[in-house]
Amino acid sequence: MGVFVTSLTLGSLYCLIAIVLVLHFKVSGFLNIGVLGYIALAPYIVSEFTSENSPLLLYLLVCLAVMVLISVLNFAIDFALFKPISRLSGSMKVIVSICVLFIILTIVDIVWPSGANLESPVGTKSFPFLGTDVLWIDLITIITALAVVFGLFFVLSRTIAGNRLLAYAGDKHTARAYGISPLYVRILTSLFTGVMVTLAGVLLASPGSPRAGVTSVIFYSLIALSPVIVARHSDLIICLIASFVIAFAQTFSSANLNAINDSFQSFVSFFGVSTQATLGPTFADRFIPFAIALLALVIIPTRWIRDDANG
Amino acid sequence: MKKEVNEKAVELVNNPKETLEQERRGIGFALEDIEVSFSGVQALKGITFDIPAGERVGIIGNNGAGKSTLCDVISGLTKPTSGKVKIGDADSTKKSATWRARKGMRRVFQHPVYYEDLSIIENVMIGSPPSNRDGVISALFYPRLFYKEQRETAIRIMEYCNIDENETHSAVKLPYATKKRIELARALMGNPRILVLDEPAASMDEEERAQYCQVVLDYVDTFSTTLVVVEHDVEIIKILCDRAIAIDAGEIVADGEVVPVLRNEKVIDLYLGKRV
Repeated sequence: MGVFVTSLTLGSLYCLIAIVLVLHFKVSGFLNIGVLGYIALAPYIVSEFTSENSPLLLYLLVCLAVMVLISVLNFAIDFALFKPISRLSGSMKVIVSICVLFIILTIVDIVWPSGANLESPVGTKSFPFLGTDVLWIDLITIITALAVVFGLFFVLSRTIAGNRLLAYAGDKHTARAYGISPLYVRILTSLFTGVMVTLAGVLLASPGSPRAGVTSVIFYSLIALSPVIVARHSDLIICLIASFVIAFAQTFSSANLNAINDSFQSFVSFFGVSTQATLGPTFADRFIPFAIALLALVIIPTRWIRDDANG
Repeated sequence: MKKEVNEKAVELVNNPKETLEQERRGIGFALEDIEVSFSGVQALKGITFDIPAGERVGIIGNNGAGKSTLCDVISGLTKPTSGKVKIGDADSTKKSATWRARKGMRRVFQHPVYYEDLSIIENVMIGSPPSNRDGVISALFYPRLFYKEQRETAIRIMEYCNIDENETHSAVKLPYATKKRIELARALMGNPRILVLDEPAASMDEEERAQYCQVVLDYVDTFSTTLVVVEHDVEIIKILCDRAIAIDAGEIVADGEVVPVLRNEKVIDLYLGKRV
């Protein structure tokens, strides 16, 4: 049960981050890695204004203020940096966005050299559920992340603003001829980004979270790239499913490392190779998500090519 | 037939006809000495014409004559290298496509544009006129406001345009002609005051073409919408337009009433190759 809850928590977080990246890709046409910088930045700002004894209301208000701040920051960077280079190729823009990520990380390092001391009002409190102790932060993470993701799906599919955003993402040229302003779309995207990355950053860094610690935030943000790859950076539903598949595969393999290691040893000994190498946590955390992503990348296009050939 | 369809047009929104006419009455526009160059190639050379409000104009020409570029200049998707575009009384040369759409200009593209993430009805609703009522603030605090109202209008417009497919389905696999009708419905959803149709009847059979033309004619007649049709097919121009402008190699070769333009020697030589 513990493994199941951890998988769900991690999947919700991946989903939150991956959907922001996909949304950015749909609107701006390139993978904006710079967005991951905000995920690292948000918990540091929140930690400046809160402590373990802060009331829940203050904590929520600070999170809300940080969401607005990051929305404004994202809009400003988008407007000042990415708009002028809009004529460059997608790959060039990705390189620029990686630079933005490292600039944000450097600023975080300069401003908070000794790291952040993020405390949440729920701390590491837990409650018993089906014979296991479930952390409150896990439950909050799952509920909040899924509520935000499904809220976003609702806005995109059932509101005029959301439909306009999807239309702009579908064809920018014609959308302008229907009166959809690029500025309107950029503001909406920045707002969604602000809300989602702040939540992802704060929840990932919260004490008690399966991947707690501000320094690990960026590492797990990068793992969230794997569902983006599986979804071929455009399909939000596939992105949602892939986030959970990857989180489950990662957590279950981590929980069964001994059995996997035994299989690995018998596999290599079958070829007469004797090795001292063992599969450790690195295997589960780093290898599994990207191996799944690459496998999907090989299998999915092959199927699509076949479908195209069949007309 | 004509009268019945006209009544349908009035039913498109729930307002009395007088209000409708006020909101939708066509506006005129003018191009003055428009030049467009792409990487040294001159696509349009000194194009000048004036289209009064409510006039129905056809633009004819060979492939590569500059018809679609002209459409792009009119709808604001291409900025002219030199020259002036006036919409109503306002100099709109530097105004964006978004601004022109807000002023009531709607464009139907040569190849139907379909947003794959949206259903048929959502594709139609995209054409609704953007207003302050559905800006970013409204989107945040009242995300469903006006959604139902616009959905109902979209259903009426879909019926008007003879789209009988399930509105919640995706249109990805629909026939080309149906996609064209969806795009027309999307344009009509925006209460167009200037309607620009880029090769509207391409890849349609005769019946589909007649139906399409009937809807367009009926709408522009009812609301005195200014109509610009870019088309190869002279029959479509004869049905939809009162005036024709023939262009070749980016220049106007004839301008006037449809039949005299189609009988113009230059037009016959350059474009038709036979007397119409």
